[in-house]
Amino acid sequence: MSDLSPMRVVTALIAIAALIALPFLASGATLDIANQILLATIGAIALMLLTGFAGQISLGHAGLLAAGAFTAGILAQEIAAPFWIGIPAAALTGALLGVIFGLPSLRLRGIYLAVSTLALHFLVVYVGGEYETRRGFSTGILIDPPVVFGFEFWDPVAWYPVLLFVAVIVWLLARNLLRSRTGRAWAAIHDTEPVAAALGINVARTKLWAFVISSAITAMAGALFAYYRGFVSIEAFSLFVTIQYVAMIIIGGMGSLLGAVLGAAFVTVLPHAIEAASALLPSSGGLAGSIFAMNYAAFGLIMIAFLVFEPGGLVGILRRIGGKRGTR
Amino acid sequence: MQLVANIIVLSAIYALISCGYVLIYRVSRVLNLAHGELMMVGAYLLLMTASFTSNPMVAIPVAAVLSLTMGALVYLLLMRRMTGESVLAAILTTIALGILLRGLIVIFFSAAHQYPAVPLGIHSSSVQVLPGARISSLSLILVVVTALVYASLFAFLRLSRWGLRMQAAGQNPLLAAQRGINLHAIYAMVWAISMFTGSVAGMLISLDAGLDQTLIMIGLKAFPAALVGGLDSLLGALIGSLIVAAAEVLLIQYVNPLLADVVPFLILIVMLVVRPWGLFGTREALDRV
Amino acid sequence: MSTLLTVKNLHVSYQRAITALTGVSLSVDAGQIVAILGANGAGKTTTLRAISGFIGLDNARVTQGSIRFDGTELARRPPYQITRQGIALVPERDKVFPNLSVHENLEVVSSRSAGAERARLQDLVYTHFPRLAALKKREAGLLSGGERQMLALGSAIVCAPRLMLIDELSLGLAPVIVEEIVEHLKSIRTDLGLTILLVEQSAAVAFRLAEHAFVMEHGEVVLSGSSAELESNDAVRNAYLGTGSEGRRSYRDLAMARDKELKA
Repeated sequence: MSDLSPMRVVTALIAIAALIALPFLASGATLDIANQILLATIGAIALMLLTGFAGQISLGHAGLLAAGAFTAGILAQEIAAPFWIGIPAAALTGALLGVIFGLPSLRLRGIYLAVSTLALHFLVVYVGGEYETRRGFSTGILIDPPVVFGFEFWDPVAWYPVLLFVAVIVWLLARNLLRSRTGRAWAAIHDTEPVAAALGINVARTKLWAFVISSAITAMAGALFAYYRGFVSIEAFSLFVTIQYVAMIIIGGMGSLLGAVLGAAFVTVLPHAIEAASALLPSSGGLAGSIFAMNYAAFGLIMIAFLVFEPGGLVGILRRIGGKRGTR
Repeated sequence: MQLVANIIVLSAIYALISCGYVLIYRVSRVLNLAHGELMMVGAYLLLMTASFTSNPMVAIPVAAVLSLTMGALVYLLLMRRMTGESVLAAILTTIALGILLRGLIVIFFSAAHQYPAVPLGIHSSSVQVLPGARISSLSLILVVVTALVYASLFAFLRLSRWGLRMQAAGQNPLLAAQRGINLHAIYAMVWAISMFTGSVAGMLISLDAGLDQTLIMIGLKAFPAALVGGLDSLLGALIGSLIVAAAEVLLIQYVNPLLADVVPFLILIVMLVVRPWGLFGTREALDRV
Repeated sequence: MSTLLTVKNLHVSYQRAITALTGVSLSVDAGQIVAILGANGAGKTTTLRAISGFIGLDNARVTQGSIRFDGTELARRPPYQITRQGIALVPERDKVFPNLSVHENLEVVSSRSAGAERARLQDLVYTHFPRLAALKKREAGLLSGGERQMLALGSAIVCAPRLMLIDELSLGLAPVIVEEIVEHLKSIRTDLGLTILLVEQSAAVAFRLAEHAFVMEHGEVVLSGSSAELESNDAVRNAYLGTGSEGRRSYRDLAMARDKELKA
């Protein structure tokens, strides 16, 4: 991680330069995609901490994003709370839900844990849906754009630096966390729980922490998503979203923060790439209706390909290429 | 009375679907989260065969045989590669397969709501089953088919040599291999049977109510039924289906219709807290994963 | 007598790191009963598992060497094919299917023996182990240790093996039961012309049953010979029969000590 080979420094500098230059060069639509990638990155890092590092399976990620988005939405709607209340509130809700999502993990492992988090997903979505119908927002909740010192954040250009900043902060937080005691404890329970317990690690607390931290970040990402879109609807948090996030960490590469970023970028760009590709096809008229179907199919296929042929994900591929060059 | 009839029909639907989850889990310890999609594929296979022939006595068996074959292929071409991988990887592979199938179905058959019953000339009529309770004739057939499927599964697993081998493979795969049992053949067979029973459910539901992607949700809701009963117990799947169906019908009737999609999962959470291995499941199954 | 099984220079390592076998060579003649002796961790069980193909499922790998059975190379073959070639293993633990009945345990076997042959072998098992015949419908999980061992031997026999591998025949069983099993095993072997390779912790049992034995230590064969020869070997007596004055020590240490004494 910390070796500063010239190759790495140059790559990092180019990446930073590109990230800074982007808003000046890119169109609004491209910048919108970049923002989506940044939002996905935050969520993917959160899931990577939980699954990739602490080894806890969760199929409730969309539920947690929804919880964050709805917290922000409901607060904005009911008490006109500004974003600097909405976002911490969302993180708090996430942390609370993290305890609830994490409790089954104290007793359950493997598929049973996957199933309990899946069930919680349906529960959160149900509560969100109930709120929408009860309050008569059957299509969703509108949120006014956040205002800071009189400046309204409503277009992708304004949002880009904010999201980039948050994503970098979350990345740094995650990196330091992994180097801390907590991070080492996660690695220990990921490998073998009994051994971790024998080493004096409090397995229950370690697991709950993983869920709490991951869920808090996820819910915050959900709230940011709500403010960015200016709109919250339960429709946006289907099970497919969970699957997308799980796909991000698989495609990126389990147990790697860089993997979470790469996976987030890949999964976010894929539908746009497919749309662009199908627009080039001559018979695009007939295909237009089935774009989402092609997304699903391509998505499933790519996930399977990674699971079967490249379990190390994109990071695994990068490492192999790097290894061949002899850099490490 | 009508409520009782509704509960029986819904539990038959759940039971017919959930036995697929149980069979695969019991024999190969894999949780197949693509079961809902595979079941939908079965229904679309019927739609396909119905476009070639209007005789249901040809279309339905051909579709059933196709689904049997496809189930085996799913194992041989895909799941076989996941042997020895982590629990998570296997679950994720089934999820990915499900997504792939959803996409392919829409590409090949469109997302529109379609009625395979129409080309086959099947009309559902209403039948008086209990005093003051009527169900559609297709629902009645579904209940009968579910009973038949369970009876044959019990007989197959308990009495036939291949059924015994499936149980043996589920209990101790290493010893089974050592006794000359080809595990890949057993697993392929169990995926085939599982997709077959799921497809039969999918076909019967779609003959009655038409066919689109919402069928997956029914498939997913049958999963809590399997888990409540115990993931490795067929009897459990039957009882679990009854419990989940009863709770769902009664809560929709008396509390809130919006609960329909969430009730099975609420019961699931309660079960996971109280008795995670299910009513009839073996406790060791919990530690094995 | 022809050689049925030849293991040459077999190396096995677990998880690519821990070496369990470092060049095991042994051979078994057709019709023989052969024992492998050795302390815990000497590599006896690993040798049996490598022969029966169990090893690939165990995160272990044959890294070098060959296993030839009746002219066919077996290393790296899947277990069910090895069984169908005519090798059946009776493992040390988890040797029966606990939720199946005694008879079902004999039924599930899938082997070269079909139809009439299977029925004949099942009858043979019931004749030699009358206890099992009386318990046909009992769930195997409810059997006693001795009955379980008989059932495990029985289901291995229904595989119609030419070579039977037994991991720890007597471990955890009462001497009377061991006696009974050894007698039955001897007569079954005569009936079927079986070849048997067994791993035994108790040298006394091994010498009673086997004609030939190999002594293993630290992943290799350190000594071999007929049972009579080995039984009269001082160092072996010391190490495995506990009848010498020095108590249980490794065979090699004892042999070295004896050499020193001889030189002095």
